[in-house]
Amino acid sequence: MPGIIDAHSHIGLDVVNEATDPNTSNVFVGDAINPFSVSIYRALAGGVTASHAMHGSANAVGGQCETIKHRFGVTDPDDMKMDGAPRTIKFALGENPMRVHGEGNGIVPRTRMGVEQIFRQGFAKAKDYMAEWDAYNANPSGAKAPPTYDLKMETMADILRGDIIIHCHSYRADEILMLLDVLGDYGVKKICFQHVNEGFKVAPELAEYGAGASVFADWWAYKFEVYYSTAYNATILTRNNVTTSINSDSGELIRHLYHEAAKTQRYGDLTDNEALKLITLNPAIQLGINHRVGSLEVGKEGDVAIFNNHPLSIYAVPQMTIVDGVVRFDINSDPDDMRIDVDPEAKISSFIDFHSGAEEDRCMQDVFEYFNDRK
Amino acid sequence: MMIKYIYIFSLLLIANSIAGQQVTKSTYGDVLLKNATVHTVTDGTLNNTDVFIKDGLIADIGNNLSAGRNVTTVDCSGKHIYPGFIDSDTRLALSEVSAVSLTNDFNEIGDLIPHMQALTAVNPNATAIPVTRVNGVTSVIVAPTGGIFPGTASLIDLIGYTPEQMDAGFRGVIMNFPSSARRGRRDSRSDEDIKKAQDKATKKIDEVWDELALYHKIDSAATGNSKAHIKYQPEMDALLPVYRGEFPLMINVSKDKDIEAAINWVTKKGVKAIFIGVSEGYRVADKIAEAGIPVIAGPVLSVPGRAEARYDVAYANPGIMAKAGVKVAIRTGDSENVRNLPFNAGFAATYGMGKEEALKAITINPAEMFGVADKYGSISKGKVANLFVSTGDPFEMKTRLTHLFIKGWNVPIESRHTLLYNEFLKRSPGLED
Amino acid sequence: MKKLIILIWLLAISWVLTGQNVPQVTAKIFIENVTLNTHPGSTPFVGNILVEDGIITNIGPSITPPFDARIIDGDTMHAYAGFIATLSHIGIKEPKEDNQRPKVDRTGYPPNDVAGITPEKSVSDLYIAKEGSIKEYRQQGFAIAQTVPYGKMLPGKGSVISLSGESFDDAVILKDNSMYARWANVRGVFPATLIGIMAKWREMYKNAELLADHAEHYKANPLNRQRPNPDAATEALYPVVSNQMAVYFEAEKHRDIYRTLRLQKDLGFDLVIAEAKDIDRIADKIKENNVRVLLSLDLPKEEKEEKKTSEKEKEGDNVMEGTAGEEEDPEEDKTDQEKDRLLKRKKEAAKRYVSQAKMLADENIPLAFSYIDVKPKDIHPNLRRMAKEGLSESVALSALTTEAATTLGIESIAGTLEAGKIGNLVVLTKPLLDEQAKVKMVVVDGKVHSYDVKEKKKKTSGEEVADVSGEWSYKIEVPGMTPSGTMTFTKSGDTYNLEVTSNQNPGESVSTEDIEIDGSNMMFSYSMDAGGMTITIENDITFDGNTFDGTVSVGDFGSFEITGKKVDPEN
Repeated sequence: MPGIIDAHSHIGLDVVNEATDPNTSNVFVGDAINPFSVSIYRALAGGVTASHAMHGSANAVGGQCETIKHRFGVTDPDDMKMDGAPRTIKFALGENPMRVHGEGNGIVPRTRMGVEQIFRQGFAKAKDYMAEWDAYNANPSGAKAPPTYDLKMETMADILRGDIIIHCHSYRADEILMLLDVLGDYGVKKICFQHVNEGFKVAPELAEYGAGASVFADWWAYKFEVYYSTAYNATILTRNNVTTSINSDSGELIRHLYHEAAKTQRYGDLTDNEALKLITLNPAIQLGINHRVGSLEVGKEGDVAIFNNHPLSIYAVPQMTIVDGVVRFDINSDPDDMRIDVDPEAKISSFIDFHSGAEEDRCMQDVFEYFNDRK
Repeated sequence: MMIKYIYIFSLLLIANSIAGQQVTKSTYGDVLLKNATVHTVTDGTLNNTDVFIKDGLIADIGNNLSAGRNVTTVDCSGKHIYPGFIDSDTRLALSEVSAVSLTNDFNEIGDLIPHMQALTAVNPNATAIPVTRVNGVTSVIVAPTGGIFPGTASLIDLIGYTPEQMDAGFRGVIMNFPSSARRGRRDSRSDEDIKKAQDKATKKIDEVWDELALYHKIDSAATGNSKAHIKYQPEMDALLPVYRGEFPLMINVSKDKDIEAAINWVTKKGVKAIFIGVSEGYRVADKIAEAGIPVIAGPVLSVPGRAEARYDVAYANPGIMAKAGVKVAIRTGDSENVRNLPFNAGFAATYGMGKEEALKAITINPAEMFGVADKYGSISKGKVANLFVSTGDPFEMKTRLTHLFIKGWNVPIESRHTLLYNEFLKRSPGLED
Repeated sequence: MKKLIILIWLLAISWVLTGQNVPQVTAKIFIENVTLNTHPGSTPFVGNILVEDGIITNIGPSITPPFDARIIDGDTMHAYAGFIATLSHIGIKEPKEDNQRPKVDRTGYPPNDVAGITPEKSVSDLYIAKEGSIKEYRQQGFAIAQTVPYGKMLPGKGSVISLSGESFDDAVILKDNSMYARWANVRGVFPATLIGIMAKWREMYKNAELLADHAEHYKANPLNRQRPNPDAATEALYPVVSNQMAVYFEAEKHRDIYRTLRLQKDLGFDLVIAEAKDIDRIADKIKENNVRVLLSLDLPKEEKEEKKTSEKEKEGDNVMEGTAGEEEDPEEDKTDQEKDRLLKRKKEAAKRYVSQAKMLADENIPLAFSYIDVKPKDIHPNLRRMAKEGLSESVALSALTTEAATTLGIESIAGTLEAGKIGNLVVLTKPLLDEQAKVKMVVVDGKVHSYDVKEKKKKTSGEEVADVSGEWSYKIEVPGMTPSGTMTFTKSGDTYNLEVTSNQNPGESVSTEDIEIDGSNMMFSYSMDAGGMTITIENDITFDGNTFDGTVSVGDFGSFEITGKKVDPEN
């Protein structure tokens, strides 16, 4: 099958959240790529050849993201990037930004009302900012002091110009509609909702706007805003003509996205082809890279995952994963220890009990490091 | 009369379609399942076989069983019958929404609180119960988490209006064995601090056990009136059945060295134990087998605990232990997604355990571990009618359950998830306001 | 608590020794019959060197001294140009690490100084002439250092100073010549992560460019122009954006270095990568971008081959006492193999780190060192470890002298032994990378600093080294008083942990793990903070049964005799 693409992950990043402000559109997680992360290899061992390395969901306007190819083995972080992939940015609605900023720091947003205003304020200010620069550039006499260069505003302006695809962490139907309203007001078209657990409730609206949906196969009830969820979400969205993908948002799940996609056959009646699209062509469309990857077609990049069984079967085992024509995972010849970088100062081996609640490669990683005097 | 019925009927419909929360009632009665492929687990696979459910039990298994009066007959031609799955460690019904702390009832304050009873906090109306059972999981262990002795676990059936109705009889005291593992990549404790914490906990456990021995002696010597003079000792009361071998001690332990230490401790104290988690069991499988300690492994869908470990060690772990001769059950350790139990078993099956062993790991093996194999864990005459009818291999994703029976109750294949599906697949009103 | 103890000592000592600097009768030094290494790679020759008024005035095989010179015998000794520490905190007091989240109105917009952004800060305001680090580095052969403030993202500007002098103005060679940058942040305020640091750099840099440009226009013609109003931090970056001031960017590991190169490529400043520890895999990019590299002299701890078993216990998992580990282990062979394999990977990694200098030299990348992390006493041993991995003496020497001088732009006045250059030189007992080499003398700005060189006591092989664990009482013979207290040694692997108490200040203690053991001889030192400066207490004691004796030297205050005995000798 085509190499699997994950439209929402945090693997291969040294930093996920710059959680200091409700708007951090000035940061790029592409600056924090860690090509040595074993998580990338583990994803390859699950047939995943590309992923959308995202900023976390601590802020309403998060950082800019990076689409990476899993060229595990390269040492230059830039070699991990998928050159030419469209720019993307993380937005986040609901509990996470409310918790971090409203509850945590006592600043807006503490409610979904506040979250909306972060976007409106960001876009409105960006318009002023663009006008200010246009005025300055129109009169190059040097009489006026230059406006302050503001990287956040630069980014917001680029969103308004249509240069950046928004990927918005979201759960509830109301907040999804809210963002569609805001974007509609500012003429922003490129939007893919992430998680979007209640997307099924507003599937017709999503389809009408042309918004994508990248969902979990079956995560629900781990917090209140996902309490009214259904594992049939992907099916309902697909049946309502929303371009839908299934993502991992986890260093664990990313290893078996083929299994996650297969869940749509237990929860809904998606055909094999529809189910496989959820983890190949559709995420490629959402990332704007479908002309290069996402299907096995002559002329596309050589990203292939090979299984010993039908990939939607529970008995499927990935055998080999190829990225750009290079074998990056081979079940028969890879050694157990695939670390590229060994720390000469660390213990030779150390065991982490992940079941004891470690947050790894997840949306809220790095947040409580900086705020743990609150917890 | 008729009008009234229609009225009630339509009310029910509205309740189901708009509220979308409450599943339809289960029904009780005698049922004859005809012409199924019966996967008994303990007696092989029987083709074209009938299973007769009566009074909540599997009354008969055979060919061409005849239905008496008031027996519902279900044609199961081309379908499969499996015993209900057992998840050997969960927080199901102890937590409604895990991020909302006040809905979590599995982690009480205190290190030594074995008297905390998980069964007490089971919410029979937890939304996750129907969600879980429609994937064939009919019984689960509900277990507290937390300090060294966080409480007592129970086995429950996923049907009933009260905890008592759900109680399947088994009790086990949970213990978290002193751990030398790191709690995450950002666990910045020094090796010395970890060792210190581990030593401190070990010392505490030994102290508890010495005190427990004394308590056992006093309690055994006391008769009649003198029993009343024994001080109120809820902790010791809860541990006494463990000391006397009546309940097993269910020990959470993960890392290889900790597993070895736990084996030594259990052997030294002569405790009847079951290990839980055991994510590095694959490194010491022979030792666990030799000690004869059964293991509840999982979650199978986990990342390796060591950066240098092969990517699939968590998938392969149950199989490696089973091959070494360890009796293995599989858990999800989950609360809302216990429904993934068959898929955890499926991954274990795929990565070396084999279908048959993996099936045992969520049926008869846990039943034996919990001392309830006379009632649970297989399709056998006289056992509790916890079973389901499916269109195929229940580990496979495409397979659907068509019928589900728990304690003989015919449970609808419905949950919040299916109800929302039915309501929203074709939303009405759609776009037009 | 440390402070209290040392203050008591200081009071006692200074009462005796206040201001007793012996007047120097001449400013001319003539070292004769010394093996002269004038440049890295030059052929050494035996000759004489004359330093007058802080300047090398003559050097040669047969020059003669003026009548009024101090003549120093350099026979069997080896002279090199005084070393130059290319990047360090020498002469600056280390502030207490404060890991608290600062209180700010908005964590996304903290004041610059709260966020660790103080590029305007100058060493001139921070320098302390009596700071212990100046003496410590001088004792290792250093005569000049570029020193930078402590801090986070942009701690401030560096200055080049002489390791001599009574004040900053006295010591300074180049003031505010460089910008120091780090991948470090203040907790909980922007920039709280490396991606925040990247963003902050991009934004500040662009604004500095815009404002510097505007300021230039304004300077040329202020009429009809808005007055530029930069904040202190932005203004401090003007010389950086105009490439008049290099950025010394601390970047230890591979990824940090890549990120630094990325910033440099995007923004275009002059870059010196400092504290590099893992850079060989980026050699091509380094060459391509033509940036300078300062390697860290802080190396991974050495694995001790012969101590395999105990080492493994240390490195491997903790074994619970009395449980696992005692038992016979039938799988020991299997786990042994695994451990060996993992240990091998770790050792390979360590070897790679120690080989960095050699690998860069092989790639013809000029290199010097930086001195942020390394402990002064580890400098020479670590150079020798690098030499074992193939680093040549000439490259090592150039990194300590000529390349350092070139990096700092002072190559015309320092870095070699040539007439006309600053009178900075170091005299060693053996050639630079020799295992036995000790610093005998360091001349800084023509001032002589001599050191006692003790012959290493011969360790009889097979000699049973007594275990000195336990409590010892000690007395120090300071004229006028006798400080005393206890030293408690606790065995830890093949070395000890030591806790020192003072009877002058009961209830307080200092501890150290930094102990060098050679047979019955033991050397250890600990640094103390005493009223604004760091003082190093160095002990050199020899055990004999239940007693010990030796010397203890206290900062600049001199050396004193110390004696001790076991408090509760067994038998």
